[in-house]
Amino acid sequence: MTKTESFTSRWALLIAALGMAVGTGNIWRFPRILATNGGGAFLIPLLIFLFLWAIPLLMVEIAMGRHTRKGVVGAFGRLMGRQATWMGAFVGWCTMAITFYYSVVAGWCVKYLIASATGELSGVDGTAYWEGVQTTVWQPVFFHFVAMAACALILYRGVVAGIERASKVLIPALFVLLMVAAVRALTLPAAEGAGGPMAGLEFLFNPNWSDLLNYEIWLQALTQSAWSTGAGWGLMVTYAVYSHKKDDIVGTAMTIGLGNNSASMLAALAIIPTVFAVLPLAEAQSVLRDSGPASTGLSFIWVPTLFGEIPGGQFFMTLFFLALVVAAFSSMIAMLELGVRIFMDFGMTRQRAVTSVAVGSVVLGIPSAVNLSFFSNQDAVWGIGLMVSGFFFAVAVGKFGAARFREELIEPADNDFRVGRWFDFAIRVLVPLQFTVLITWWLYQTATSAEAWWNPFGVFTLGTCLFQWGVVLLIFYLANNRMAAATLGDEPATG
Amino acid sequence: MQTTTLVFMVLVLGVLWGGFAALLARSMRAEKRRSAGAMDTTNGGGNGD
Repeated sequence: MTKTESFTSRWALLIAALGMAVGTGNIWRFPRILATNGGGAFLIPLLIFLFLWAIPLLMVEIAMGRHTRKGVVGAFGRLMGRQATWMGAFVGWCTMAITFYYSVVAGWCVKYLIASATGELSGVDGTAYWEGVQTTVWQPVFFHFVAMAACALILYRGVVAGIERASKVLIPALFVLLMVAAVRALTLPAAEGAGGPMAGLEFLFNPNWSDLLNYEIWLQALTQSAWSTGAGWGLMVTYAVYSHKKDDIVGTAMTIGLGNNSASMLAALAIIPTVFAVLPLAEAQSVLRDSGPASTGLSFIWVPTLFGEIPGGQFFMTLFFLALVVAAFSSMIAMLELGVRIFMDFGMTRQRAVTSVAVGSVVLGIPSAVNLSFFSNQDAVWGIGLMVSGFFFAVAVGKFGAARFREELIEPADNDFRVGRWFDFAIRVLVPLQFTVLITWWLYQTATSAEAWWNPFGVFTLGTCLFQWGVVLLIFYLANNRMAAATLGDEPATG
Repeated sequence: MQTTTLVFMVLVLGVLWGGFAALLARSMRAEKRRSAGAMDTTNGGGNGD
């Protein structure tokens, strides 16, 4: 049996974990979600859910990965009992299904980085350029392949020479790029008729307290907090397999959560003041809320237009897309490693596992690369599936016993902070409660939407989610014993 | 800029950036202590891992 590689230090684990959490969603999704949900007021529920959903779940993931030393499939089987292996497989599939189309987004970022660096994007009409790229078909597929190949090459080199080394370059670079972009945005001169960057700050940090009475803001804050931090994806289970026995769990989870939201704020400070510096107030707010096709509006349609208007626009546009590429790659490395770890638990060598996961992901990502409706469908189905994934983690801890989980798996670590009984309450009550409220709200929304809710082939229908989840759950449930035998052998469960 | 905006900005960024920076500094210090401790053990004839 080959020895599992480990990160060289707790610091290395932390940097890789930050890379996992900070992705393109921080840069293109966060400013838009913030703008459509009341601006400043949105930040309050976002901070609350960071501590009530994301950080407890990140702690669970790290403890599970470190205790079981298995990827997400084996971790569930080992903690809950072999009969629960299918739950880990569902969590793993949700993340891998997101990886298939996430690689397409990473490909767009690479394409736009090249186009901005070569001047091809300067002075173009954002919408026309975007449509031009999409109609060529070969370009989204080719750049999807390039993004996948780049990340696979890093993973091929292993945990220390690949993931750790890449993260140590990518993450500091990302924070520096975002800081430079934010400083530039805040010092932009206001265009004629525009509010100026300070109007952007007013929008960002002037809360309208009555917005807090709108339940939708709270629900959007929870989804943003869950999806942006990577809590409940199984990614930290994977990275924790490579952690040391005594590595801090509580401090690592808190640093990931706060670091991820810090990066989001930097991105918002880079984008929102730029929009307000170039456009009049009303138009600025409308641009920020424009999601565009497949939620690409702000980054891929408006950024080329807006940066074309500012002094040194080409340079800062290149910087922006470089930050997007770096963020995309650092997260994609973690997402692919989740699949690689599962295959390695099944007995494959790293090289074979990387090749299988990369080739499979390229092929399964092609439909999203050539068809934006399919892309949007997958984004909805598996993005919402992550709520179920997060709930599965809470179920796993509930079965093991929340207090026992804390006492045996979290507290013995060399933690910088003591975790108290609030953890038991958060996992046993708050996470399931948040899941129930969110899923009920979503069921109500989709069932009452204009599109026929039952249609299994609709883009955003309840029917398509239930159909796809059902097929995947059925397959994994039927394959449960095989997966348990392949990943756990004769090992007994610890739960 | 309005006073409310300024206060709210300081609070939000203080929690996020301040908290993040403090946690990073803390783990860097812990890492240094651990490496120094490991070095002492090795120099003192410990058998390491």
